[in-house]
Amino acid sequence: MKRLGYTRWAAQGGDWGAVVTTALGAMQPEGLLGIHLNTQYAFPAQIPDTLSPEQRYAVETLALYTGDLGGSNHLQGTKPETAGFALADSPAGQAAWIYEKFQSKTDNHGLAEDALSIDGMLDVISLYWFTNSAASSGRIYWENKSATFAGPKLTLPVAVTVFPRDIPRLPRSWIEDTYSNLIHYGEADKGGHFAALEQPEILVSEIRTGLRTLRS
Amino acid sequence: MGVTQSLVTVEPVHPGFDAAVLDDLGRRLSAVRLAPGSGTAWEQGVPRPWLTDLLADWQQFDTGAFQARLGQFAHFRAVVGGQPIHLVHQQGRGPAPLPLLLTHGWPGSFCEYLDLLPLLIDPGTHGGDPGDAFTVVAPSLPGFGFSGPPAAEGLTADAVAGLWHRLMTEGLGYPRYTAHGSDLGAGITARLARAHPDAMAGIHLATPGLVAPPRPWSPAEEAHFAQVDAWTGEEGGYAHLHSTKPATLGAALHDSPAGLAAWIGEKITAWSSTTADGQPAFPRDLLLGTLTLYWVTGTITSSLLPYWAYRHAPGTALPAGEPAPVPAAITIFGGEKVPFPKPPRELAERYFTVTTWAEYDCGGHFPAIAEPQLLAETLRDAFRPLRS
Repeated sequence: MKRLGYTRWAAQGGDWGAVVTTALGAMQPEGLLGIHLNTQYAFPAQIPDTLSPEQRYAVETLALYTGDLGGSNHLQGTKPETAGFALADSPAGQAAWIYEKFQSKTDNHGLAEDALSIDGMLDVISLYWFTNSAASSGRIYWENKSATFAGPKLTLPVAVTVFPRDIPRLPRSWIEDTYSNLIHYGEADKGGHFAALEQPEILVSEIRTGLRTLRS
Repeated sequence: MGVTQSLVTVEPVHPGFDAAVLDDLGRRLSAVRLAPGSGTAWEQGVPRPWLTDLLADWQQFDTGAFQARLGQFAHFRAVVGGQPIHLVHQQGRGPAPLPLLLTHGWPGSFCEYLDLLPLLIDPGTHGGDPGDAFTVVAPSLPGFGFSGPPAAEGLTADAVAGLWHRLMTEGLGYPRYTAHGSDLGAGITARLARAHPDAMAGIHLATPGLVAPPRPWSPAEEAHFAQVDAWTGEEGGYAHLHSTKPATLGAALHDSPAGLAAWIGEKITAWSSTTADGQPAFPRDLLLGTLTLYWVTGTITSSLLPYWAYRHAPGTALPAGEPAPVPAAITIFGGEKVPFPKPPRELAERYFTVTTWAEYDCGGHFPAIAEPQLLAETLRDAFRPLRS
């Protein structure tokens, strides 16, 4: 951002983008005014024995990443090259790999197409295909094996939007515990893990609202 | 699998590789698009130079010679309860050959046993006693190789054991038999012993993977399961994916010979013991034959389903503390490039009536290939007392 000539800027992210944005928030480089997150790495270091319903839901949805939805993370976190060779040589395989994520993590009624257009999904798949980046993109899991949802506490201004069908979906209490300067907390009424793709208007509105106080 | 009294049919076949599929494979191999790769080490999976080399070898592989080698054995196609099963079935040469069922695992095939078969069938010609001859049955697991696809949800070890028992008793006419298995085959062999103690004279298992029993555990068991956790974290991504999203993975592996070669080749290399000059004991030609078998039969996706079935079929774990009475000889083979955690004897004794226990630093995950003589002698010794 410095190289681009910006002396005052904000950062936004979801999924790995939120890991990077959170790391920026912890680093607090000069010029970074605040951040917006639609994925929050805000689990407590120790999960308490007694949980509210919202906290229990967060724990259960996170558990999917060590269970039914965790195979690709496990694989790419250990053997990204092996996985990458299969995906780089088969358009069907690359398409299935990405489509499956849209299927399991968007706000849908059983099909990814409920939440995203076929063309939109094919745009994403095509980008990975034409740049031959299946293996290199999988390496982010290997390089960040120790990444956890119990992320660092942040003191800079943080704006958060929770989308209802995100996996995991965190409770407000844990988000408030992690971000001591929470300048905005929003709960969208629709959308899942891929907020920018699924609900761009809601996300943009939330980013505008969430970061507005940083402009002055 | 429900109980069915349909007839078990068995007919001789001469399986081979479809020429059109082999031509298509050749075209795909010449048009492979490889990911850029990130070095020569194995720490992130297969290195690109190794894979490039393997794919070049695969393009040159003499599939005719491999088919001719397979053709030296007697093949059959059985249908048990509607499920087609390919098998090799050879009569032993001796005064009283004992029926022996050999079950392979993943990513193996019946081809693991090709070097072992002559030693078992005809010990007299191979430095042994004709009294130790076996009549050998080596099937392909449902959904693997020439056995063709199984039911969509895959079959549990219990279900396969049920098919195997009907094959041996009704299909081939052996009311009493012995069995050996490794990998998935060990789990199936164990369940045969539990379900059919009257028919099973004895079993032999090579390095069985054993589920954790209820606590308390002995110190050796604690250490073992800590190793299992570490191994699973680092090496178990493949099984996690097989057991949760086999169709997604299969879409890639079914369509890309490079993907198939990387997927299977990585595990065969890691799980093999090594020869004196540092090469995998699983020879390159047999690896290429195995890849060709999976590719030509289009069975990679169906081969993943036993993992899915095991995860989704509650109650299929062996119960601890109730060992089946069938005598179990267990051999722990070692020396793999990436070692498997090896179970301590006391853990195995929770699940089996262990009559013989041996541990070796050789053999690896494919002992029939790495140490056929040792395995043959082990099987002869284990089952000799049971002949009557």
